[in-house]
Amino acid sequence: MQEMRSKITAKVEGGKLLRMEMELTESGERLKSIKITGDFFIHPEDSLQIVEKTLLMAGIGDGADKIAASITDISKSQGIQMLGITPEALARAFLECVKLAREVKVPAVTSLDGGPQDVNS
Amino acid sequence: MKWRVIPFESHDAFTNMALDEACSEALVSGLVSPTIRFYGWDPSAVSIGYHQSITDEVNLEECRKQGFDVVRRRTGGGAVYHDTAGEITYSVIAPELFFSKDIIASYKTICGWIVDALAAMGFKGEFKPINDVILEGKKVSGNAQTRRQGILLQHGTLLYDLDVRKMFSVLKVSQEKISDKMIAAVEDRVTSLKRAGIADKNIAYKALVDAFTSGKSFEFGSWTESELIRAKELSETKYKTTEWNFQR
Repeated sequence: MQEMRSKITAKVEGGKLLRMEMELTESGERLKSIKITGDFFIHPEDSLQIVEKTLLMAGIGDGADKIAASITDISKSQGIQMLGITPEALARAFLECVKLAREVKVPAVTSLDGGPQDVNS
Repeated sequence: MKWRVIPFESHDAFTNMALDEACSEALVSGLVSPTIRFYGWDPSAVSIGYHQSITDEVNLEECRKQGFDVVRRRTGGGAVYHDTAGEITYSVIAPELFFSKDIIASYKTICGWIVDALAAMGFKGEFKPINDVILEGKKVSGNAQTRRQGILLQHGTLLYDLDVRKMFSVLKVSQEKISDKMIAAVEDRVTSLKRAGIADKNIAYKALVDAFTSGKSFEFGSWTESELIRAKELSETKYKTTEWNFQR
């Protein structure tokens, strides 16, 4: 069985580079793991783990608005400030990454501005 | 309050990062004054942002071959190639209360000192949010900030000289992309003081010291014994470790 994993790289409009890596359960209905990296700023720095946890718990069938709202809510309640990325960009990347994982291209790179590309292209 | 200014000194990457943290800790404990330090990297090094993946960003094999250090910073932002001869790096370590609560505004304040240094050398620099200073439309300084335990640490570089080919050899850019065209594209976006016509790095250093200390009560100083001991400890037990550098 192929693993349902994906990795994308996206340039946030007017911001920084965002990379997201995830693994879905075998059924493809839930997230097993997620990792966000990039050259953005989050204050306090360790709150990136809170953002990852929020996405890990998000329903992968949720729309971008709902996912962005959950990140915005947790950011407000925890005093998290983001520079160079936004909840909306994270939500878009999340959905793109889920889509790619379900297409079972392992591993792959994509851009939010364009379609998925094979990592070696 | 009087600032402590630590004149230019060169260290390996792990010690440089450890000194920033040791100083921040000492400041939290009230043992030292707010500090401005100027430094270089010997050997040349790559630092990556706190949220980056070292394997995504750095050609580790090439760094090993060339004898360069690779270290994760405590601050966000991107991967930076620090050439021993190519840049002057600074750190500002001070109570957060000295600066605006607004992070971009505080970047603007400290980057403004770099703009002032450029002005003293006859150039019109400009702060470009989030964290850059540009000269004639091209990046000449990158900066990164963290705030922990009430202490603001901002460090950044002023590019004196730039070897794009060497930079690309250690940052992870696919070899086929290291074309003349791509190098030209980077040279269109990034500049250095040498290219702008400053023939002596000391001129840039003096301008930086003057601009960073302007209007402040300060004295030149050195590290305390306890800062040096703590920095050595942090260098060995944190910044040199796989656990820290490969955490993402």
